[in-house]
Amino acid sequence: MMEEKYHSILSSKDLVIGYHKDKEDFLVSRVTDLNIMKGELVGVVGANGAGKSTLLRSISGIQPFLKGTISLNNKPVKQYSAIELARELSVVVTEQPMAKNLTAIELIALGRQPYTDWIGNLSQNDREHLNQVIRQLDLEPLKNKACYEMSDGQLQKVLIARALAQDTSTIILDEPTTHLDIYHKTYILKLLKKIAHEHGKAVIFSTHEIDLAIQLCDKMLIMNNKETYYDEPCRLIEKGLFSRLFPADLIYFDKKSGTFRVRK
Amino acid sequence: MKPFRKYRFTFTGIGLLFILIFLVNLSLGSVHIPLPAFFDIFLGSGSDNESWNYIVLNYRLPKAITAVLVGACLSISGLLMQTFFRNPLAGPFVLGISSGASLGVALIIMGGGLLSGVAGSILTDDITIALAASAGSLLVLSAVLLVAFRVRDTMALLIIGLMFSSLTSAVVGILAYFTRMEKLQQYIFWSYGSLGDLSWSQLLFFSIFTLLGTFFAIIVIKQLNALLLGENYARSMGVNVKRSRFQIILAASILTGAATAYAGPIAFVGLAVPHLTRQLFNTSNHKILLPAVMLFGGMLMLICDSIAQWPFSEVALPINAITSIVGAPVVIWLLVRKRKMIF
Repeated sequence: MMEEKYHSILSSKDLVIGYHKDKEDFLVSRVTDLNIMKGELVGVVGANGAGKSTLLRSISGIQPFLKGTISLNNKPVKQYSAIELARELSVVVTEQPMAKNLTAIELIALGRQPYTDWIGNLSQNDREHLNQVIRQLDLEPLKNKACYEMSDGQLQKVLIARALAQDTSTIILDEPTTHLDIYHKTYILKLLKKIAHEHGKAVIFSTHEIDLAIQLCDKMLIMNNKETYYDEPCRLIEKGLFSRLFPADLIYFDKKSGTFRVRK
Repeated sequence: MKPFRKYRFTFTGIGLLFILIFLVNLSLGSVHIPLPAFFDIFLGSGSDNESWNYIVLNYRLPKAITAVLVGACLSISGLLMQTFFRNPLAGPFVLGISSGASLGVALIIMGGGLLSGVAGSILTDDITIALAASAGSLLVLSAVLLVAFRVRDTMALLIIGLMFSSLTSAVVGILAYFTRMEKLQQYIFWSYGSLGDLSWSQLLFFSIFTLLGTFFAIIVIKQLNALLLGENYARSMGVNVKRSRFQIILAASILTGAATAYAGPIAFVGLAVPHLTRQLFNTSNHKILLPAVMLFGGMLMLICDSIAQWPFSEVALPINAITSIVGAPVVIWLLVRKRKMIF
């Protein structure tokens, strides 16, 4: 098991992210070579516009990247078919589901799509998976609630459950803590940590909650000024990288407590 | 978990109601046929009165089947559009496909008159009008499809659909301005909609189109369910979004095009029926909704037709007016009662 735990799931080499516009490449950021292991929780932080979403979209195959390779289980993502990729990588994005009438269980069941037949019938195996996810995330009381009846925190939990039901080695979440209060932010991040550690998945998320991420993540990726830094949170603090994240006129990073403070 | 089991009784009930309404629709009409005689005819033994036989089997039955097909076509199309555009107010008219059909017909009826007299009169028979409507739908459909491949944003596509319908109505308006009185009248009568003019052979073609469109709708059921979460989620679950978009638009176009070609532009059915259906089937699962909207759409058209036919009198009101009178208040009621149409 120990050996298993340390094998690499997601890696990148010489990655450059950006976008194509009017036949020109616009560079968003160069990305240091990543090597994300099984069971690791990785937080991606950076100022607005630093390219957190672009990076996550590039990794999840929603958006093409400019240079380099991203590999899942030692195979370049580009060589995966859509359905193969859907079985290895699931996402939770910022866009809200449009069908507010879906119940929690219906929404979570959609996560089984990569495994179901042409019309989406659930097999016995699919149903067992769903029940397992519902048990693990204590969703029994929410099961038959429709999305429009849920709080933001509950909906986020259900969306995470859907990703979990997809049974992938990697889960990518774009700002899963926005619109939540401090308690639920912590709750969601602790849940992600549990999912990474106990289910042996690589969980990568972007967030603005740098303080919380420092406390909970195994590794962090800092995106700043078209460069990225990837390491354990305490090492990143030692190197003073958080201090450079924002202009110094209003806030500063307190190394001792690992939090940002307002300049008096 | 097993969606069909949950709605088994609802489906049985709706199915029985559907058959009842179908029979009521058949038994009503401008000529009064006594109920026993009607059942004799319907069950195959026939009546002594030859004209009653003829009326039921060659007029009322094709008309009722047309009503069911038109209702089913437009309702599926409406359901597809609402999921596809993530907009509860989307319907077959939104893509401009119905307007495209109208343009085709306007060009034949009114544009034909602008050519010389002889050519004009040859051109304006029933089959030509049906063909022109299909061609018009196809024209707008192709334009929308071309745009659909360039524009990724579905909301933009929605607006483009609206622009296409404005454009086609403008062209129809210009044609109407220059055309002769009787041609204009003929066009206006077509635009009222009619379920009663189809022969059995026309009905056969209509059925084939309906089956084709429904087939395309059925094979995208799984993708439609994934799209309920948005395009990014759908893509992450292995859905080929581009191909699904193409299939959905194709299905909606065939269904709307066929219904408009054979029965004229019928308003509100495509928009209202999916919402009415959701009142009874509290689900977003297209596996349930698709057959349910077909039944509901068929029933609604049968009811509208029965009203339009104004039992036992010579009066036949335009079907399009009836569907609007029934459909518009339904949409208003839904909006007021639920405020937001959740789906």
